[in-house]
Amino acid sequence: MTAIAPTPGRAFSIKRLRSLSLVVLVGGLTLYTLVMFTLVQHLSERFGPQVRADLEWRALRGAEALAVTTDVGLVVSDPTIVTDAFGAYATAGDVQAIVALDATGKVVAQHGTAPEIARLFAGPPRVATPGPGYLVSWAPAVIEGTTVGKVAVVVSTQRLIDGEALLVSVERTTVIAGALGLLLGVLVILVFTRAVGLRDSQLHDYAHNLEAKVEARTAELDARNRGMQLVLDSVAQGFITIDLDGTMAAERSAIVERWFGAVPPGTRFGELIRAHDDGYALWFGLGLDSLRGDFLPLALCLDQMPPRFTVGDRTFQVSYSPIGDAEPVRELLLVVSDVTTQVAREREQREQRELVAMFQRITSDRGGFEEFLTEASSLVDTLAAPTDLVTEKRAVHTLKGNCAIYGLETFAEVCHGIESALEDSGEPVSEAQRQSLLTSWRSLVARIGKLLGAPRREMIEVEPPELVELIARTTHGAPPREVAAVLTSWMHEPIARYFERLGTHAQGLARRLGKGELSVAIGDTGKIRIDAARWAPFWAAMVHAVRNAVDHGVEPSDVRIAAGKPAQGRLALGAERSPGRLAITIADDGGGIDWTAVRAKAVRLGLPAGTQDALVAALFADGVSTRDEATELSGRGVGLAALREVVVSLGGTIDVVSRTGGGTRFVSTFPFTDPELLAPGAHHSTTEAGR
Amino acid sequence: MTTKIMIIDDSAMVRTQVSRALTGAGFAVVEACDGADGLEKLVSHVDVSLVVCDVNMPRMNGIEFLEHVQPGLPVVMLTTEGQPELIARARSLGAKAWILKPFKPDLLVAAARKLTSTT
Repeated sequence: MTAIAPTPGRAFSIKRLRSLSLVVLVGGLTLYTLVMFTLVQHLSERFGPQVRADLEWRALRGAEALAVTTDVGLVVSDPTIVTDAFGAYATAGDVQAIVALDATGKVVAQHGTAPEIARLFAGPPRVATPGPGYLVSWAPAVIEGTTVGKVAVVVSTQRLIDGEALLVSVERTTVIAGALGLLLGVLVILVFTRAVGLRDSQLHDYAHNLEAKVEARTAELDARNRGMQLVLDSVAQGFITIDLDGTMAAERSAIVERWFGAVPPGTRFGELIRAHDDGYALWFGLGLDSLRGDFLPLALCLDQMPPRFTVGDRTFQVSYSPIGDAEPVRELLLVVSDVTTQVAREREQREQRELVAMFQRITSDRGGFEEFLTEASSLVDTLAAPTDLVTEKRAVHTLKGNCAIYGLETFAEVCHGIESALEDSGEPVSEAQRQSLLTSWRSLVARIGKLLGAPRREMIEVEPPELVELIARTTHGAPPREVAAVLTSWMHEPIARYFERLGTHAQGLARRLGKGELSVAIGDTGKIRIDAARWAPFWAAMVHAVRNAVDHGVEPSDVRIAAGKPAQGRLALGAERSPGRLAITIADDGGGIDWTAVRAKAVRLGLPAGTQDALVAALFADGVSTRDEATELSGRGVGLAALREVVVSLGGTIDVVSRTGGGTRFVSTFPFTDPELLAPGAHHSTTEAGR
Repeated sequence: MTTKIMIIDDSAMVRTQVSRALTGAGFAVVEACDGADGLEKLVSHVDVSLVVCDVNMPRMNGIEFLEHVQPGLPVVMLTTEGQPELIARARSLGAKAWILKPFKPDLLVAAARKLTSTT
């Protein structure tokens, strides 16, 4: 704002200007008049005597000269000769008359109009004698000592009179002109100063009004600024203006300093946050770089600015708005909100949902849940210390899948984040990621511990028909060894229970993936039971096969209908016992494996791909997935490799049968001895020497 | 003349997504599955006006591609949220800009328009 300076000397200035002008005018004109007057005087003084002397000289010189030239004519009294002798004098200026007398005093010749003749010659000869309006001089004409006449030359003094009259007139005119000039000047000055005064008065009024307006406007702005500052000081959000270097403007919400400490002038927002959240600062810097570069559309640049950062245990959300409509944008408004409570609430709600899911799982299948927990803890232990990238990838992938089955979404997401980072960077798990994973897991285990309560009392679950049958066999004299074998088998888990878990998981997945209700068929498993502890890694890895079947295999219902299949996808799980072997099958009726994609991936990874066997081997290799996009569920080519590794570790083999459009069947075959079958007289013979 | 853009990504799905978005907006698209493939194809496709390039790829990644590509050809990096250091490195190697995956097709098209109109 520019203040208008007050003008206390305004009226004085105008008066002073007027007085000054008048003094200059009067002084100038007076001086001019005096100079002119002096000049005229001076002229007058020099002009009069000079003209008089000139006239006298003309009279004296004329009389002398003509007395000589007319002497002969005068002797003979011939007027013609005398007149001729007048010569040039007769026509000379100022010469009014020439009179020539003979010796007797008779006028012989006369030129011009002479005054009274007697007065012309009354004075002494050769002396200019003044008369009324003239000067006269006469001289005797002498021949050889004898005066033969005399000649008088009368010179008019009219020129002298006219000159003097002119000088008087000039003097008078000068005085009058000076007086008139003075008058006119005074008038002009008065009019001019009055106009200036009026104009000045108007300007003064304008200035006064302007000052009043500026004052009013300033007061209004001050009030608004105070209001704005009050708002900025009171709001719970941080309003921050930054330029494209990230430098924060001085005007901002007071809460910013309460959150992040003192903000010295010129602080850059990214640097302010860098001490707390380096990742945010990095992305923020890259975002500003994008805006400065102006290569991308503004909307995309803003969309890619990092939305959240953390300071200690608090989480802040940032929204970015350009200031002004011009592009490229020069300033941004950052609205920072503390969303810690909101984030905590969301986390609590999510944990609550997870707790409910876990509770349902524990209620319906406590044994399964405890097995999951044991297996997952073992995987977390694997990740607790650095190993190699492949082991870490498999562990994280399996952990992610199993946690998703048991509804532990938060931890599954942590795993997904780490897995994505491993995939992107090609580096093993970083220390920060390891700590994040361990912290999340400990927190999860603490919550699960509350749900599980005291460790389960060791117990054996037996289906009533099995018990009835054993009682019957015992009653009918079954040998003690056979009874013991049955009782031993009861210490193991029925395989059907694992299939039920996988089936439930598959149906949940199908719903999540928008593939509708999945039909799950569990084949007759007889009474096959397995050692829960020994087989735990296998069931953990089977989750990958289930996910492959649902995510990759089973097509969306519209595709299935178009292919002439039932809209509802089908997943079959089965176990078949043969002497010394156990085959576990998982089969879907989906689109089958895309062997062309497998071949392409194998070639890219430098694996053999010439035969079907080579392709099957490649399918179980790390990094081969027919899916290009990794999801939270599958697609990284890690799952089947993990499954194969577990199968092999259990002494088994895995094979796959798949044809385009005709579904996929994975069969894992293990050496197996059913404890019950050890008893003589069992229903099935066995050649397997046990595990 | 149709503006030609090269998409380099080892994921066929990403290539398809990018191609679909760009061809739908009137661009011609050349696909390459990694940096080395991209460099080879640039020899025959001299009229490529813009390269959209993934960061992590087998054989030759996006950073190595930037080190070998001819100067002056604008390159936009496609990346995930986990790689700010790589983006900073790509920028220092001359990448014009970066776009986060998953990208919004309309914003990708807007970016391609802006980058090809200013070059």
